Amino acid sequence: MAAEPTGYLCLVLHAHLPYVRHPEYEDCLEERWFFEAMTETYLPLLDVFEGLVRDGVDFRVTMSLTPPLVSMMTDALLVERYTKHLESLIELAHKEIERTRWMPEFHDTAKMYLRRFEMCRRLFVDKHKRNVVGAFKQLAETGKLEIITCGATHGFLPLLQIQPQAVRAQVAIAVQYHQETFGQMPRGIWNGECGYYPGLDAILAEQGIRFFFLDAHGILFADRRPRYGVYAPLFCPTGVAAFGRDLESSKSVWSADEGYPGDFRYREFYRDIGYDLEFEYIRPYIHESGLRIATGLKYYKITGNDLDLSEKQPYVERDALEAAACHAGNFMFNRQKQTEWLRKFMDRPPIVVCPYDAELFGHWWFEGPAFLNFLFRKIHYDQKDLVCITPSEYLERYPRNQVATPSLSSWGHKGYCEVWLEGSNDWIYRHLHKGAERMIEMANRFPKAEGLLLRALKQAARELLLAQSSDWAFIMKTNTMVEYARKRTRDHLINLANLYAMVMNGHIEEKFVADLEWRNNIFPNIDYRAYADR
Amino acid sequence: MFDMDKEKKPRTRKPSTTESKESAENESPRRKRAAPAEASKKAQKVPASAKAVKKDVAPSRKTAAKKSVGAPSSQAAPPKSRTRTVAAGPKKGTRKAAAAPVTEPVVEKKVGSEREAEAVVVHPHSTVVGATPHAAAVSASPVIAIRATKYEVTPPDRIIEPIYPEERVSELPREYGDTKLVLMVRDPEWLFFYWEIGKDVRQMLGLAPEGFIERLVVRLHDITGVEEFNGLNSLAWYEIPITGGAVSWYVNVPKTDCEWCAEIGVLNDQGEFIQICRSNTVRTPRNSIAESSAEDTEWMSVSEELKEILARSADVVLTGSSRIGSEAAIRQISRRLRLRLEQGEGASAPPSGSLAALRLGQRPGKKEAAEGVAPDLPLSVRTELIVSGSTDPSARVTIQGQPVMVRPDGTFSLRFELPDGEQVIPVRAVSSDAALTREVIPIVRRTMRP
Repeated sequence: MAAEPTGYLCLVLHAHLPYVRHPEYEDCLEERWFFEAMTETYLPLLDVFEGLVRDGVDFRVTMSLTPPLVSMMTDALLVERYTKHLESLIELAHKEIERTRWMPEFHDTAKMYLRRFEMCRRLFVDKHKRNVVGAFKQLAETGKLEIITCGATHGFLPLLQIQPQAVRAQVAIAVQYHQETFGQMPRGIWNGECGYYPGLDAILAEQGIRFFFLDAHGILFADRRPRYGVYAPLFCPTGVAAFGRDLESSKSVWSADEGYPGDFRYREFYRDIGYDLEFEYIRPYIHESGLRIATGLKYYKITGNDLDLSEKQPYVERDALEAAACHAGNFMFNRQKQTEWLRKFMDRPPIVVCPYDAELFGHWWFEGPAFLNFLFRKIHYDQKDLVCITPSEYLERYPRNQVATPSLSSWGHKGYCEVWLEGSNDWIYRHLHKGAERMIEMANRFPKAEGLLLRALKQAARELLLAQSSDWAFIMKTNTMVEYARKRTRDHLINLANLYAMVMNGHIEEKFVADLEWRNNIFPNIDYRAYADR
Repeated sequence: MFDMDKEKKPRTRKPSTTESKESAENESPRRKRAAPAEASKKAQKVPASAKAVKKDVAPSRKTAAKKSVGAPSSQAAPPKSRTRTVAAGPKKGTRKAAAAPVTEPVVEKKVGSEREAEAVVVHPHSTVVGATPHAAAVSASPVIAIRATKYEVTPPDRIIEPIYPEERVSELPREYGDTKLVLMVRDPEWLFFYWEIGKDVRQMLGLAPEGFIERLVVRLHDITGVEEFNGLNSLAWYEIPITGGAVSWYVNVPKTDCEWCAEIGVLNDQGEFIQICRSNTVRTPRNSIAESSAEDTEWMSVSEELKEILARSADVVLTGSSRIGSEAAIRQISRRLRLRLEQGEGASAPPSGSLAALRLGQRPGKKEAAEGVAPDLPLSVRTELIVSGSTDPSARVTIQGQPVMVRPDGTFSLRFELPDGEQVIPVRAVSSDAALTREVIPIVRRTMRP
């Protein structure tokens, strides 16, 4: 074992998108969530990580690649559509370089987009043969990246707990899928929305999961005083480790007021040529209906607080990168000071756990991947106090930890379940619970299904899982794209209800099942028996 | 069998210990009517005086708690046996005969002779009508069980298969025909519950076959530390009248870190609570740092430092930390973290939970003009220049020295954002064998007058 550092930094990126795939439409707005995240987040992060490996920088990062995201990344239709999308972006970037020829204040930015899109194509098409998951898997094999899983469809488990079988299935199906995809069991899990309830750890333990993450108050309000606060994991009585989120470092990235992403030099998110440019020119790059949407090409910087979008100033990439480097330095310095201070009170080096939505980096905070790049390089080259670590490595080094049961919590607004259980979305639970009840009933009744019955049961499980995505309740609450979220919840539950009736009546229509298999094709090898009573 | 002094002795009748004894008692048609679920009778049938009932209609928390604490806890019937008993039901072979006792009591209640009122099971806590789904048994549908009773042509234990609709559904139903009450935790201080009352139970109680039920009441029991809740032994309970056609409800609970179970029922004309079913059990989380325990003293040496670690964990700066003791400091940390969570402030609330909501496809509205200020009329003008032309499809074309794509029909076009000032734009075509060259030089000038 290497000499103990002052402290450990455990950076966790939670990469997730709800399963959005619509073979029935040519141009689906919601599929663009995936395309945008690929171009702005997943491929740039991959580029950063591969660059670090190439340059011999020793770094550690933990990523949860959720089953729906992995499914989309490996889906032939979506991969095909994304490739086309990328081509169209490159075409647009070329046009933009021409368009801005006499506008030096925008011209460099237009060139930057072309460079970035071409990087994506090089990485995605040429280098990894359109297999991003394979690329992440290769990184994981270097030991620099630890990939963990997440509930099969990012269900918010505290609100599903009334049926332990439903929670178990979320975990078991995810674990199985992870094993299929990455060739090994996941050691850790990101519980959707950081949602934990006492008892969940028993289900995790049963599925071979060794650790998960919690918001700070989940640890602090545990049933015993956590002697190291959030700076060491707790062992649940079942032996599963619970790592708590560090609030200080979270704030510096998340906070709208104090967070780095609000720096005036960074790129403005809202001002996009999809809204600004002449209609006929931009038409091929917006929605086929002519609805103006964001293209991803944005030429302005945040500029200042409370400015109208029309008052923004042109973006300067060099300045923005300088800001990212400066913020990376600041982040590292603060963690050094923080761990140094904590070390005085602790008999082991503190671990500072910093979980973020991966999509924050790149999509929302355009310069986020560059920030990570600078951060890992600075940590590697500029100092020795702080060492990056994965949860698995930490548990290997510190196998003895305090035992306590954390408290019910999430990382959502107000810290508990309110985001997913309030006026706009509470109606779904009656149906979700009933759906789970029916799924459990079917799994118990048909323990050894074959043929069409097997197909119907597998599809029923898919529909239930898709309906359980916490994303839908979240979107209903945030009041954007609400209709889509309601429709997804309703559609999957109605599909399940019809499958249930067919299965229980013994009259399964092959055409009906086949149509759903075509539409909602997640988890081809799903084991519906995950729902059976144990 | 009726105890007039309820306060002292909450129940007078010991529960029957055997099934056969219950069946024997069932001989009386009155009784059967009163309690179709034998198990419920076993567990909860405690007749009370009219006086006690009245008191019970609107119990203060204090008296409720007091009464409940005094209630014996040893008479719980396991939920399983309850459901089964309902399924086994009265020993009559025909549907009509079996169904009759189910509907009768309510009808009679409405007539309300004194004798009959006595016969109906009335208890300060509850009277069970229908089945009682319990904690994990939500999936065991009580309706199916009741149905089995009605169509009793098979051995009593066998549940007859329900009929599943052949037609496809295209909408979610409002309800599923179940009888259940489901309790969920929203946060340390709020619970949420939803319920359904199935047709069978509604019929049994003489209620509308669907829709709103008048005088529907939910009783929420604090069962923290109660080993097996039997409807009587809670620490305290609260009555929530369900109004306004609600199908679900949020309730603010007075204590955190407690275990809760609820019952749903209706109040009859006498204001007595007729229990329909019981919910699952939930536990609200604690929202403070745990008390120091015996185990903690083993590392007492760091307890002074603990407050520092915990404060940092909670991202709280202790005020006067050098002066206040550890316990006071830790209380302060709990309080401050709680406050922050309640206000949904800072780090605990990421701007969003997923990319979908990272303001995708959403743009902020224009800034609203402040009241009293004349609204501004926005106007922004851009000018673009399109340079287009045609040549031989095999020719190479440059504009300002940059190559341009020539389409198969020989046309080409380029689009420029046109800034202020003069632009000289040489357009040059060179034949594929480089033998011929043509050049045209448009000059364009933009000026904007304010």
